[in-house]
Amino acid sequence: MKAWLQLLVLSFPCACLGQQASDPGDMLDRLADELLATAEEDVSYEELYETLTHLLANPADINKVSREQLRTVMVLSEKEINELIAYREEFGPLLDVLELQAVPGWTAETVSRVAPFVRVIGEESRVSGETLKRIGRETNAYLLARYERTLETRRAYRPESDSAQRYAGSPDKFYLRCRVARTNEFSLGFTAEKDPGEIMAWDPTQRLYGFDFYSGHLQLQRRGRLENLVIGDFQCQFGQGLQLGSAFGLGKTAQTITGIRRSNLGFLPYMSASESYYLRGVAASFRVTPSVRLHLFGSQKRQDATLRGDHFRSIQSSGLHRTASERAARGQISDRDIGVAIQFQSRRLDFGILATEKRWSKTLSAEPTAYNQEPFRGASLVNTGAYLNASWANVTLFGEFAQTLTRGNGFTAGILGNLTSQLEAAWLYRNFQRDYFSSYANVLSEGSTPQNEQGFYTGMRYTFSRRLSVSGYFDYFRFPWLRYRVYRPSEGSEWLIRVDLAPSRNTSFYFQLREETKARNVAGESTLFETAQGQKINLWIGGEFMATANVSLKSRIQGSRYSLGSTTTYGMAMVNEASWKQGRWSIAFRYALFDTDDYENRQYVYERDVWLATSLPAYEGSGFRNYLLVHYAVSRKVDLWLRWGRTTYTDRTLIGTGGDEITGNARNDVKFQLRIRP
Amino acid sequence: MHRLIFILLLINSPSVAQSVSTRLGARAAGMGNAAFTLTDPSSLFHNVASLGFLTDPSVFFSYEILPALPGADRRAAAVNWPLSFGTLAAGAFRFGDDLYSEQFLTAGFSHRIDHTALGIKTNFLQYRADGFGPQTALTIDVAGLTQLTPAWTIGAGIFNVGQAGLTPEDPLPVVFVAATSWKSPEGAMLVAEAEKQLDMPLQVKAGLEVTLFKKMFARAGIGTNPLILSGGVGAKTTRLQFDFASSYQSVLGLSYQASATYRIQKNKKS
Repeated sequence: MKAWLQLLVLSFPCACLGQQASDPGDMLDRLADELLATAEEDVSYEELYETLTHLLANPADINKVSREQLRTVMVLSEKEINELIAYREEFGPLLDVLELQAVPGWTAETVSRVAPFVRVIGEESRVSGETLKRIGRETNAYLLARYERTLETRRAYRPESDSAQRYAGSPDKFYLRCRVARTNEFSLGFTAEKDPGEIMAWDPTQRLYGFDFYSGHLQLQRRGRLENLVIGDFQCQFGQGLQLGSAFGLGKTAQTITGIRRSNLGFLPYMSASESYYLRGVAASFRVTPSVRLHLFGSQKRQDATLRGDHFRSIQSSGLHRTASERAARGQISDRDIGVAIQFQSRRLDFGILATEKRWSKTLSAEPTAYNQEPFRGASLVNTGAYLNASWANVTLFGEFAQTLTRGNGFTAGILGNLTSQLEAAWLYRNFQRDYFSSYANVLSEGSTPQNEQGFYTGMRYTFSRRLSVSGYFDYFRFPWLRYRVYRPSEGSEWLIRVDLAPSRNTSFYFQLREETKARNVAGESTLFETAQGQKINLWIGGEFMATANVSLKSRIQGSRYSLGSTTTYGMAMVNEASWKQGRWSIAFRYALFDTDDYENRQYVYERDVWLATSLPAYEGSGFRNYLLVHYAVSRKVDLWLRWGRTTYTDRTLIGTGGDEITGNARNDVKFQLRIRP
Repeated sequence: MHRLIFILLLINSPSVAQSVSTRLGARAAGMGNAAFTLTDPSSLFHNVASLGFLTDPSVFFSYEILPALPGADRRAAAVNWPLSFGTLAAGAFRFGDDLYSEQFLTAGFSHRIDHTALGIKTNFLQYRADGFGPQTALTIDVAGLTQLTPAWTIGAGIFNVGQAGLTPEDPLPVVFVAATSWKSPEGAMLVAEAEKQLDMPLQVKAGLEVTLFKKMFARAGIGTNPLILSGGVGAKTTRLQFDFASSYQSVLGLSYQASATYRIQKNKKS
C-alpha cells in the first residue's frame, strides 16, 4: 500500500508542489508580511525572522521533527500536525518530502506551505563520528559580512552639533557573522557588530575589544541523556513565555490561530545582534527518565544603565553607544540569572515547573511617575511558576502561571484547534497583576509588558477552499490600573478580519481591516487629566502576481484613520514592487508613496532586505520611498547583495532629530553584503 | 485668460507645477473617471497596461467642453495597434486655447502574459502661456493590470515615475493609482479606484455601466476630492462606438464630453 502510494506521488512531482510557495525566500516574505502586517510597535521581530530564516536554511528532518517544532513555523493547523504524526506512527519514516501528499487530510497546498521547512534526511547521510570532525565536515555553514551607511551627513558629525550630541565613531555599520549548524545535532555561531556612531577600539579597561558587540554560542543536542547544551549566548522558551519567552510570538497577528500559542522549545542559541534580552552562560537539558527532563541555566552578562550612586533607574536596551552619555552607560550593570525547570512529558501532556532568579549588581529603582507610583525597587527578582500543555483530538490546551515572590502574579491560558476540518478557532484568557515582573517575558498581551492587564481573545479561521480563507480575531482588554498616557483605569478592544484569496496559482490577493479602541489622555480645560477613547482603523488591500516564472509584481494600498476626542487624522501609503529573477541575478525594486497626517497614522510596511536582515520601517510624513535590492550569486559558494534605499520627503527639509538629523529632504541608505559558504 | 488661471490656481496645489487631468474618454467620464481597469481604445489615457488586452487595432477621438469656461476644452486622439509581441499605441492631447495651453504627444507599449499585462508610456509635454516661451518635460508612466478571474480585474500604476518636471525644482506631480473592477456575465460592470498625489487628498472614484439591448450602454459615476457626479450613454455597431458623458464637478461645474471609436478589424469583442 505504502510503496504504491510513494510511486504514485513520486511520479507526479511537479504537479502539486507549486514553484511559488516552495521558494524559501518568497515563503519567508509572505510569512513575514502576514505576521508583521499589523505591527504597531517596533517589535523585536528580528530574532524571529532570523530563526525562520535558519529553519528555511536548515530544514528539519520530517521523520524526527517534534510536534512543538512543527507548531513553531505556524503554517500548520493542529489537525494537520496530528495527521502527520499519526501517519508517521502508522507507516514509519517518510521516504521523501513529496510523500507528505499521501498524509490523509493533507492537500497539495498544505504540502507546499510546509515543504520549505522540512526535508528527509536519509540514515546514510546522517553524519557520525567525533563532534569536532562533524562540525569541521559540515557543509551547512556560512560566513557573512555586511556593511551599511547612510550617505547623508548626520548632525552629530557636523560642526554645529553640541558636544553631547556628537558621535564618537564613524557612521559606518559593520556586521560579521558565521554559523555552522545541523538541526537537532549541533550549532556553532559567532556574531560581531558595530552600529553607526560607535567606535572600533581595543581598550580592555572600557571593555572594548574591537567591535562594540559580540555574541557566540556552541550548542550540542541529543547526546545520550544530555538532550541539549548551549554554551555562550542563548534564549529560553518555556510554556507560554510568561516567565521565560524567546523571540517567538509577536502578539496579535493575521495568523489568528497558530500565532497565539507559544511552543515549548527549551533553550535556543541566540544569534541576533540585538544587545539585550538574551542570556549569556550555560544552559543544559537532561533526560532524567523517558518522561522527565531537567533544564538548568546560569547567565551572567553586562547591561547598559546610567548609575546614580548605588542604584539605577532603568536598563537601556537600545544597544547604541555613540554619544558620551551612551558610552558612559555601557556595561555598567552586571546582570545574573539562574533558573531551573522540571518537565514531565507524555504523549499528550507536557507539564513543567519553573523557578528563576535575577540579580543586578546595583539596585533597580525606577522613578515614580503619575501612572506608576510604586515602581519596582530592588536588586533581585525571584519568579516561580508552572505551565501545562495538553492536546486531545485536534485541540490543544495551553496555560502558564507565574508568581513574582512577595509581589504579584500573572496567568494566561488558551485553547485552540479545529472545530471542523475547515473551521479553526482559538480562545485565550490572560490576567497580569500590575506588580508581576519578568525581564524575559514574551507573551500575548496588549501592553508592551505583561502587567496591569486582563483580556480575552477569540480567533477564528475558516478555509473555504484552497483558494479562499477568512480569518479574524476579537480581543477585549482591561487595564485595572493607570498606564502610560492613560491616567485612569481603562478598557478597550481590537478586532481584525482578513480575507485571503488565491484565484490562480500565480496570483494572491488579501484584504485586511482592523479596528482598535483604547483610552488616551486628552488635554482638557481643567488641570485634571481627562481621558477619551481613541479609535484607530487600519485597512490593507494587497495583491501579488507572478507575471512569469521570473517576474513578480506586488501592489498594496493601506490607510489608517485615528480619532481621539474631536480630532481625526489620516494616513495612507501606496506601494508597488517588481522583482525579477534570472540565472544568478535577482532584483527587486520598490516605488511607494506615503502621506500621513501625524505619528498616530504612520504606516508600517514590510520591506525586502539582504539575506538575514529585516526591515519594517514606518513611513511617516509625506513623500516617496524607493529601494533597489540586487542579489548576485557569484558562484555556488559566494553570494553578493546590494541594497539602496531612498526616502524623499515633500513636507520637510530636516529629517530626524538630535544627532541623527539630516539637512535636506532626501535620505539614502546603502547596504552591501557578502556571503561565503563551504 | 485670467479666469482660466484663477481656476487653475483654485483646483491645483500651489507647491508643485501642475497639469490638468489627462484622463480623457467619454466612457470613462460617464463612470466617474474610474476607468483604470477598463480595456478600451481610450486606455492609453488611463492605464497603458490595459492596451495589452486589446484585440483589434482602433482609432479613438474625444472632445470635452466646459460651458462655464470657454478656452478650457480638452481633446485627445489615439491609435492602438495590437501586435504579436504586445500592443503599441500613440496619441496626442491638448488642453486650453491660444492664451494658455498644455499638450503632449505620447507613445505606449503593453506586453501581456496570460492574465497579466504590463505597460510603459512616455509623454512629451509642452506648456504654453501667451507671452512666455513654451516649457517642456518628458514623463514616464508605468502600469500593471491583472485579471484575477474572468469577472474580476485589479490594476495599479504610477504616472510620472521619474518625478520629472519643467525644472528640477519644480517637479510635476507623481500620481499613484490602484483600481479594481467587476464584470457580470450580463454585461454590467462596477469599477472603483483610488488615486493619490502628494499634497492632495486621496481621490476615491467609483462607476457603473450597464448594457442595454446588447449594443447600448448607460453609465453613472461618483468621485471625491473634488466631488464629481457623472452620467453617460453609449452605442456601438460592429466597428463604430459613440459615447457621451456629462459630469458635474464641485469646482468647475458642468462638463460634456463626446468620444468616437473606430475598430479597424473584424472582431466585435473589445
